[in-house]
Amino acid sequence: MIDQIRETISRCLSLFRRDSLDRELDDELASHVELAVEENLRRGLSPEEARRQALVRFGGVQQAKERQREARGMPRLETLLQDLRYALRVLRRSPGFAVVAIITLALGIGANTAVFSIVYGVVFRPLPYPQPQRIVELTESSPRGSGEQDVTYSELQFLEQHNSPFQFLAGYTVQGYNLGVGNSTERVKGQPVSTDYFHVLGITPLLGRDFVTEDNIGKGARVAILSYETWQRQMGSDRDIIGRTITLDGEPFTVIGVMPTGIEPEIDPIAPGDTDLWTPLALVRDTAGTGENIEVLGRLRPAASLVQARAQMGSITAEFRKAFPDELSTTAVLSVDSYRTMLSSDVRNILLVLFGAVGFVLLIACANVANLLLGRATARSREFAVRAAIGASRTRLVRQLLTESVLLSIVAALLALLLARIGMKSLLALSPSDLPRVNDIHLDASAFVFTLAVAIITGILFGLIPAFRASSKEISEKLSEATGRASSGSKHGRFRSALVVSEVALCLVLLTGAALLIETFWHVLNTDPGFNPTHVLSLEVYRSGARYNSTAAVSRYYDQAVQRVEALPGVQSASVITAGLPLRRGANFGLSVAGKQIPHTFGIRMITSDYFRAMGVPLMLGRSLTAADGEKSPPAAVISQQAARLLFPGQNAIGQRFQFAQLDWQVVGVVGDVKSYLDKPADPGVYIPLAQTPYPVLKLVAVWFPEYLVVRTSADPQALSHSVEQQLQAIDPSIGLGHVRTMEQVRSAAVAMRQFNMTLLSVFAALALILAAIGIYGVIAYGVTQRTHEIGVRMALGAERRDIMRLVLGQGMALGFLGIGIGIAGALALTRFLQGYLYGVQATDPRALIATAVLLGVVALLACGIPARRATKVDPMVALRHE
Amino acid sequence: MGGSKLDLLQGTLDLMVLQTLAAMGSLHGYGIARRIEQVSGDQVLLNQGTIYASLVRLQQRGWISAAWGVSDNNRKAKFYAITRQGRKQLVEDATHWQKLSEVMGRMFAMEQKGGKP
Repeated sequence: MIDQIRETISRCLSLFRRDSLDRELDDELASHVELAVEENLRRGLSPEEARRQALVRFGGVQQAKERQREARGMPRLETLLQDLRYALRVLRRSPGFAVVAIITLALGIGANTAVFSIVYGVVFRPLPYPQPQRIVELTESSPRGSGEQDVTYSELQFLEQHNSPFQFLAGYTVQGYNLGVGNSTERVKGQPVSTDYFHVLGITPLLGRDFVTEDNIGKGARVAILSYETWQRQMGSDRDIIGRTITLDGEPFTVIGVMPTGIEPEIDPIAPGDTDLWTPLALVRDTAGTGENIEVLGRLRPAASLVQARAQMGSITAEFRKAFPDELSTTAVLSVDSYRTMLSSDVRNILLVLFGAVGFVLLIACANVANLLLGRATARSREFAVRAAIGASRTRLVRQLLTESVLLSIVAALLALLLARIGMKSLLALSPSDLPRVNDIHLDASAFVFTLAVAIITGILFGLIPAFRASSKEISEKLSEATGRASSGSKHGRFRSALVVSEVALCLVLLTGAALLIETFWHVLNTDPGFNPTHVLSLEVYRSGARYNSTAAVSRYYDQAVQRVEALPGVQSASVITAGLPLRRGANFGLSVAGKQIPHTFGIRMITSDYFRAMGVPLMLGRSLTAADGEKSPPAAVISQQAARLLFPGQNAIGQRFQFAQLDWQVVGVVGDVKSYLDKPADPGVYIPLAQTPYPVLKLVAVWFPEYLVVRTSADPQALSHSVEQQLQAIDPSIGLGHVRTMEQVRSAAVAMRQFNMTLLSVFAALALILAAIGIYGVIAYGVTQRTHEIGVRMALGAERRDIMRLVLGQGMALGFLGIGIGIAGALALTRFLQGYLYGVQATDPRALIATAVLLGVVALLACGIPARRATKVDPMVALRHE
Repeated sequence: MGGSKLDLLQGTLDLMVLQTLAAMGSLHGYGIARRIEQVSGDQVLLNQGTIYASLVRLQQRGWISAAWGVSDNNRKAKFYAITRQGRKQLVEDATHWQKLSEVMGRMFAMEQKGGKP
């Protein structure tokens, strides 16, 4: 054992002492021969015979040296180094080829590295918790409801009692707080959680303690755990913070703990971003907890699998239905899924589609480089023949050529990492805020490993066939191939044509995908959102504290605010809306007609009188809400057309009544539908006057949604944002103000994910198009060079320039059309993966296919045109003398 | 096989070199090669050059040591000597070979009794 280690070390060391060891061996062998000669002389042989016999007995000197070297060193490694040195020399001798190949590959590999990093970061990167695969999300879905939904506080309590598959189970929700420390106030994202929340995640506090059962008894204890970042920012990392008092929305809370950094934000479309502090969930049992607002996470028992947990959910579902016999719950299905999968479920598929697309780009790049290598292999055939003639085996030649191609791809990979770094920056700058887990995306070790693996695989992929081709032909044939004319390349030619055809086909698939997404984007952008977004400013308002504990107080504040803002020059009208802005997620509620619950949810919004004018929502029937619809007057409501169809089918909605929040509302008007999502049908909307809304409803809604001040201006709304903020602060400086956005910006944010997908796929398609054009050009230009002699003969025999042009173009376009044909078949097969992301266009849309086919055809024609023109310039005399 | 010389089995040469050095003390490469030829009665097929691969291998394992010196007739040559570890290894390998050759002997004896030509 020790001897083996010693031997290995010596072998390694000998690599670095090759020259001195070789010299020593030379001396030793020389002395050997001299000793033998002397002995032979002593035996009476003549000097010549003595030397001859000494050499005969010794055997081959070179072989002896070689065997000694093999015994002392690392023969494989040395061959590899030799191959590498040779490859470097070869590449340095043809820098043009090397640069083109490396750049082509670097583009392909770099694009893949960038997309890989994003896909890995968003979809595959494990959560930063112990045994993250055991964390699952539990959802309730019902065929009657709209997809997956969360649970109520009492449903959570039921689940906590029936948690057999789970080691820990916990619920959480999200709540914004105005955090007061000393005199300063800051709007923060809070997360009311049940006792075992951090046990589910598997993290323990950095300072202080975790929540305990007592914190979640009754109405909940006023205690809070801070995030590491909040502790740093707000408390200056004060280690004596535990036990101190802070205020949340004006109420005193005791700090009991600080969590370590690195907690991943949950996906929350209303309040994305890191959580600033955690409070006991019991605090919201009578507010948010009464609705289906609590998300449930579980940590599976150590031995339990997801499949087993799912099986157990069956019996729990049955008991759940018995325990909650209301309409939605009797058909409810409880299911569990991996938390990580849930985090990225919305974007997983499209990211994988993009990953596939960028893989195509790499394939095209590979095809191009393989083409270049084939061209070179023909030019280098004499070199290979000579090497084979002096004894290089075929394996050795293939290995040499593969070393060259892998070397190329590894150099390209280094450049690719650089490109990916730059590309990632612009990609992430483009990436929409609803791309989850995006903050932690960077080029990390996994990206390096991926890039290296891709480089080696592509190096072998594009190098293998040229290598076998180059080493296959008979030596004599190659050596006699003095000038390497047309006849030599026919086999290569077919293979190169096949490469070009596949490039064109792959390119067409990408182009079609890009065209479909562009068309979709155009359709989405041109969808009428139901309001007029130009010249409208929206401003998030967070009021808190005891001063606003009645509808009248809230209403008074906003009346003042609207009055002051409307007095500003350039403001046409101002208004307030709560519970959700158009094109953003909002609150949904159930309501009843004639005491009967309607099996649908409605986007109920509380507004002040001028809202429809400010937002530009058209009034269809009846009247708008006015200042007269106040506290004292009977409850009045305006509903959207879609709501009218659902609530009062086939009737005139005006004058009808419905019940919401224990009040009986009369419909006084109907407005147009306003969309929450551009690519989905509008949700039914119900508008009630803020001044008539019961205070508990206002309070509940304010837990999740800011109230928005909406201002219609006569010019650029952005210019007014500062003075609007000033007016609000002047009324009450304790009010928290959040994002200021124009409604145009809100609309852009709503299409950001689509824009991201479309841009990415378009960039890939453009890259593919350029690479394919280079590929076609390369093959045709090479063909023309090879056939110079033949073209010369044709011209000498009377062919017109036109004929030559037709000959070359015909050859090129035949490849182009074949590729386009195959590509159309491929596109028809593959674009269905995009179906879920299309809007207003079918995956098999003939317009997209025709447009891309024509585009590709034109590009192919241009790519062939240059060499075709060159072919017509051939001077027959020169070409014939070329012999 | 007739009169042709014996091909050396893998590793045999290493053992022969060790044994030669153990018996003769310090020797140069040519001396070792000659000694093996003489002892085998020229039965072994040995290109003298092949001994150098064996020598470097044994040296790297630490079983022999080497130093430049001067031969009887004043010629510079590299001399090899067996080390303590080399002797230990030699005992081990020799035992192994003896056992193997006994077993082979018995195997061939069995073939003769079986009456096959």
